[in-house]
Amino acid sequence: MQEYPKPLAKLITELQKLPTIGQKTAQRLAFFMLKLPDPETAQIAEAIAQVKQRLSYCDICGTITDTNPCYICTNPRRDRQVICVVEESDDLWAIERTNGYKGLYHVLGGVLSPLDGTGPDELGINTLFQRIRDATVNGEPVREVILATNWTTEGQATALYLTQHLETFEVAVTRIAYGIPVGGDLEYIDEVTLAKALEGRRKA
Amino acid sequence: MLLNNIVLRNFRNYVDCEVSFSKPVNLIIGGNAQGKTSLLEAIYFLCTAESHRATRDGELIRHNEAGFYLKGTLGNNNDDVMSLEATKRARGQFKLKKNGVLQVKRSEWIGQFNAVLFSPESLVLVKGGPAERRRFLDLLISQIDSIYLKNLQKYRLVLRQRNELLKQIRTTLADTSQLDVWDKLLIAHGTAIIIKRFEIFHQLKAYARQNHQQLTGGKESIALTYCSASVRNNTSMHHNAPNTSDEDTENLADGSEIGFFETKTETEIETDFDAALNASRGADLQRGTTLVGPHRDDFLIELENASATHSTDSESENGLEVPDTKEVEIDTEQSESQNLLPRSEIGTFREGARAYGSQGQQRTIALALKLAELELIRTVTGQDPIVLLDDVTSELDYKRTEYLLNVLQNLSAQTFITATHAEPLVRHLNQPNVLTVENAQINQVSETNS
Ligand SMILES: [Zn+2]
Repeated sequence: MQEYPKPLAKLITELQKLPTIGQKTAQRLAFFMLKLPDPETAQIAEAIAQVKQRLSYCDICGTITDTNPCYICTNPRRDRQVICVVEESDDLWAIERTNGYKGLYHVLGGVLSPLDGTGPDELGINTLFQRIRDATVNGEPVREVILATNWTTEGQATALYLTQHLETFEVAVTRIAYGIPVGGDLEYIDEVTLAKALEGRRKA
Repeated sequence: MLLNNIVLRNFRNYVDCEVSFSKPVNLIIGGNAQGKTSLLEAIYFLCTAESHRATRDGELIRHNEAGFYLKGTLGNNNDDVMSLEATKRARGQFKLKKNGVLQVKRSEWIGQFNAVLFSPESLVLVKGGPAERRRFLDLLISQIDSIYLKNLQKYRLVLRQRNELLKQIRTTLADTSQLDVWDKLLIAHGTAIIIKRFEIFHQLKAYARQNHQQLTGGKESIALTYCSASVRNNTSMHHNAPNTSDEDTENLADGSEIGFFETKTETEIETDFDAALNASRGADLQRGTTLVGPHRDDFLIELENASATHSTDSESENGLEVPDTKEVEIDTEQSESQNLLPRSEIGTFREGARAYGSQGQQRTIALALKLAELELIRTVTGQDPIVLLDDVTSELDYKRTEYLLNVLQNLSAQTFITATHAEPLVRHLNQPNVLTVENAQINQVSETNS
């Protein structure tokens, strides 16, 4: 059996490293790229290379950015007294697209999950605490921390952990409300139980 | 819902078999290992997405085949038709489709139609360990309450996370404050589970008791008690009762009827579970696993024999004393030693079985529990579940079989009964559809008279 020419086989192998791309899709993509005019393939390759070269994590909030600190952290019109805590950078952009939020962000880079070996030290949790302390020292104390981690089990655990540790700070801690979408799924009903657990247990 | 038709491909010993059921009562006749039980197993699988007897899913696939396929077509009086398909490849997850649409969650699959299965394996309800009884309760409640199953799945995930964290803390001295977080989630989901179990168990034990009394002609009766190390029993009176030699059996019966757990409020259960979890933390850390919670609960089956009180009493007392006391006293100091006790000793019928002997009695109890399950599903859903009876004539004596068939005659439930011979069952059934199974081939025999 004649195998693919080496460069093609290599491209197919590399493409398969992407999420949701299996062998068949990788083959399709590879053959598609072969047919593209040269400048276009160069642009794709360039974009992929640049993503890593030109992007880094914001030293303040932890989001993916091409300037450090990021545009949001350096924007004087943002409300510096409110920090919204999200799991990943794409959650930040999801909230940004709503155009309704004017505060700052803090990107954790994941959620607590012992099964995945993720503890507080692996997440941007200590940097969040340090950030709140620094803000007070700098005379711009944080008024409110909004917990916007997902309503998955691990997202909840992370929100609970932050709630617990933020008690020693002089900040209001809030949790994003959980909307039941139109034609709501029963799936979310047990989350209501959890919301109660989260709220009710804060006073303890 | 009535099962109108089923297709089995490469399932157990079936190669490719399709059979239609035109009547509510179906009598399936065949020798051993011909495929009778596998047919019931397939029906049950379409209902619950799990087998009642396979320990590994791979066992369900016909030898040397890549995977199995099941399809059931169900309908009701209004001509609504639903098709349920289940496929399993040797290396892969189950795929479940309803009306051709892939179902991602088992919680959305379970409960589309309900089934109650009584088989020789049902005996594990009485003879088996706590896990068997928990499985029975969990599957029963999941069939009638999809939120319960979702909470159960979340609870299991939190439990795995917590157990992993316990191990990490033990080996690397990780931050214990993380544990509080998982505790809160465990308590939130666990409390929802416990509340629902209490609610259902309360009804179940009454139905089981009634059925058992009728099955034994009033000569014996059973008392079921929910046992939980995560919820404090306000008055340990009931639990002490069987151990107090001067207590007579009537009081014991009264005590178990009241059910102290079941009067607890949500907040009380939460507080209790919280306290139990806190008390157990040291031992949990030591063992690297969570020792209290609904995943360790059980229910105790006690047999009260009206005619032989004292002779059997002392026997059962000796047998039950140790585990029972440990079970009830969930004091802080005791929880550690209590947790070291293998929980399988608690609530099993082992001691009772030694005292009361007969396998027949155990089967009667298992049947009473299954009939209670049937009644409970009818009451809660307002519909008769499909009844699957595997090899009952070999399991039960004539009198009990007759009672069972009488109960079923008063229902409009669709019934599937397997037996090695048509007689004597066929005479007691209302115009059954008789099928024969031989070497995984199913044939319609005839329209028999009742
Ligand atoms: Zn930033």
